[in-house]
Amino acid sequence: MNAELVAWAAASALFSIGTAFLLLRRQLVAMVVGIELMVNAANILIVFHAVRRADPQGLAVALLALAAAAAEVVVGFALILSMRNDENEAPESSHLRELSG
Amino acid sequence: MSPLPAAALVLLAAPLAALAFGFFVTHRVRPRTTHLPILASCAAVAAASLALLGGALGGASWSGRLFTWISAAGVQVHFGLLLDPLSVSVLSMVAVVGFLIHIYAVGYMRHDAAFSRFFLYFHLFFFAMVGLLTSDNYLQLYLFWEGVGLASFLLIGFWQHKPTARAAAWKAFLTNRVGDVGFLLAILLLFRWTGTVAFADLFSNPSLLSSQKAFIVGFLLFWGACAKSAQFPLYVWLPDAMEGPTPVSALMHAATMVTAGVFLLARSYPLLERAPGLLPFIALVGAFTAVWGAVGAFFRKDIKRILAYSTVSHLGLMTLGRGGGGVFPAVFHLIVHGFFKAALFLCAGNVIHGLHDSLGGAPTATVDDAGGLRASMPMTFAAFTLGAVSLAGVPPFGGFWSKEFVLAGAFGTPALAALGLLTALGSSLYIGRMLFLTFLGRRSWQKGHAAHAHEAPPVMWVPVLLLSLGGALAGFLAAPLARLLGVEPHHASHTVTALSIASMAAGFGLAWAAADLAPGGEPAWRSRHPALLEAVESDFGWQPFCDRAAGAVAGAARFLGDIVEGSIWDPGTEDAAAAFPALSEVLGRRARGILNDYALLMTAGAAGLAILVSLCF
Amino acid sequence: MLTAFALCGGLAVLFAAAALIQKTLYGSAMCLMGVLLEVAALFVLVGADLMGFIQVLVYAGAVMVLIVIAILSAPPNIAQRWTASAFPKPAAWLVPLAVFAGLASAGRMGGLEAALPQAGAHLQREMAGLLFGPWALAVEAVGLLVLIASLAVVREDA
Repeated sequence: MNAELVAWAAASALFSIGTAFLLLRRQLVAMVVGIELMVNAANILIVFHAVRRADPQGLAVALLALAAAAAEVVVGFALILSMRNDENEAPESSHLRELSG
Repeated sequence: MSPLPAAALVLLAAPLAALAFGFFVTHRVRPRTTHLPILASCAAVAAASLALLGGALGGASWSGRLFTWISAAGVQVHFGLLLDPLSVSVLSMVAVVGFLIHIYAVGYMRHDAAFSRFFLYFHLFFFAMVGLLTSDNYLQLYLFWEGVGLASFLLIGFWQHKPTARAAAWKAFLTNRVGDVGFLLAILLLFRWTGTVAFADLFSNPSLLSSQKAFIVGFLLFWGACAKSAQFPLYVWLPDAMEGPTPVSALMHAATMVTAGVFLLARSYPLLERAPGLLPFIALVGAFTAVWGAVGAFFRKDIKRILAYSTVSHLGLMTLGRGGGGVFPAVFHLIVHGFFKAALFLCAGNVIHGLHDSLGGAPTATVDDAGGLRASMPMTFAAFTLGAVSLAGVPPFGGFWSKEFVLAGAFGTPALAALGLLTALGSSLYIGRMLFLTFLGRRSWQKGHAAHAHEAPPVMWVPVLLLSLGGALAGFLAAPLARLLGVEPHHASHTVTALSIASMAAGFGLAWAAADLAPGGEPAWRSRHPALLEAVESDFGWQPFCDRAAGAVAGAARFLGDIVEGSIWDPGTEDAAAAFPALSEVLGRRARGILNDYALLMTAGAAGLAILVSLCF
Repeated sequence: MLTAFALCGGLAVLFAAAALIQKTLYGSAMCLMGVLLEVAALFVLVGADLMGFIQVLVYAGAVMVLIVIAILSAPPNIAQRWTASAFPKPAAWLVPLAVFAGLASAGRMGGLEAALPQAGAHLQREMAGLLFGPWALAVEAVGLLVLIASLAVVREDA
């Protein structure tokens, strides 16, 4: 059992599942969840290799990436929640079709 | 070679100044005076060239570079003047003859509305011709060659309202273009094979071109000369060029422009010499053309066309001389021919002018309109007779000497000798016929306007007389010219001389007979052989053939333009363009604004790119 | 340790796959929390316990709360899970698989270390020193970003 292989496999799987969320789910909230999965997959790899090389800069990058992704989730949700529809549906990927103005 | 004297710069500067002044000032303000600066420029050029001739006779020659024209990687061409004995001698003839014809044109074109435009075009030609004669490299010569061709086009089609004139101008230009292709190819090959086109470099260093390459270049130069100097395949434009005013015919298509080709061959003589078999070929083409032209001249009725075919014939003689005996015979005949042919053309112009009212203002006359003009136009008659005897080669007039040298060179080959003698016979035949029919007693089938004809004004007959005297006395120029060109003139043997005199006399006799026969109506032989007449009228089928060939080319161009481009290319490109909106239409129906689709395309694209990059590295 | 590592990794993947096929958004969110906790466990197992701590605090804590609140605030009617994409479904499923294949094969380049690395004693201290030292500007920038993001939740009519 190869630690690095496990790390790579897990990260790749999580990333591709996150991509699948983005491409295949209808609700916008679900798409944001997919983005979160992708960020976490990347973080796994960054932390793993930072520890392996004993490089503090890698860890610092992972931390900052974590913070930035959290901020991005906030903004994304704020936008999603501001979408209101007549049918009172949860915001879907097909709701934003027209340019206004 | 000495550096250029001031007189050399006058040669080009004076015409340029006259043209600029004429175009910008007099043409707009006082068109009737445009000829004055131009005549002054002609006089200046004539004086300068005679001064240079004097210097050249003393053994001087000049060359100089004026400025660098092209300077690119590996290609250097300079604009310069080369005034060696060859160019100075031909230049003197061109300048003097040109000056006299300019004076003549003042009288001839007096009543024309486009007087000013005529003189500007005429002097443009003069400038280009001077430039051509003084060039020191092939590319510069080609520039002025084209300039002369342009002036020819403008002047042949001078009377723009006449469809025949426009057609003739086009014919001249396009036929010359066919020849110019050869000239241009020669220049390009020279660049490719030797890297230079300057005469000094090429001729002083014979090893630059192998003899096969010299043959190819020489043949291409000859092809170019064929068009300009009306040798057999490409002479078809010269008879139709008579649509232009008579001074144009005299200066360009008799004395100077058409001799540009002969001059080119003279210039290239060191190159042509080294090509095996080229000179005999040139001589043969020249001899054939000479006889062909003579035949055409004998059967024609239009006085200018007779002289046009005569020019073709004499150009053939010059080419024969070129191929036969070196530079001297051709150049000597060129100079002498310039004088007497110009004189003959201007006499024809006088006749047309004199018969103006009877002809109803037509710009040309036939021998049927004339007849017995000796009494009413004595000065013209005198000038014409002088010119005619010179042309026919009656000793001791000028043409006899020049023809003798040409025949001497030709007698090396039996075929050329026979053709040369035939040409001599033909020359006296047609010119005798023209002389007898036009000036001596009226024949019964002629309309007989002699009573109404009047002599031309002095501004017209004085230059003519001077020119014909020049032609007649030109025999005295032989020795100085030979000395100038540095050759020993090859005098013909006594048999040759005797034969040429005999053929000339026979020609006159036959002309008398042909002109005098059938007191009742048309010369009998004309009505007996209509098929023959038709054949000769179309130059034994060569003119219609050239017309058809040109028509085929035009047809091919039309096919490409109308059918290929109009029916295939344009609709094809339009359809290709219309395919894009259709494609967007189709794709547009699939795009429904769903975010997942766009995310999919982005991901797929990025993944593809990443795979490509990883494959490459 | 290695088996634990592998176990956590596998669980994370399972939770993620489960999240993908949940019928409700809430189910997906809960499975996401499972993934985040497993990732924190992975961090702790390699010895970066500070990272694991922050992961739980920020992600499994704050971000999860955010997601749940968002789900609860959204209207409840969820028509379908899957997208109404113009592309055929197999094609859409193929792309994530291709991504997985590409990443996994990229990971095989270079030697793969067998043993589980452990963070040195001073690694996280050095990280902290870095964040408060040369990378202070970056930290401030991200903090500013978080501040600006927090402005997003301010309602327009407030």
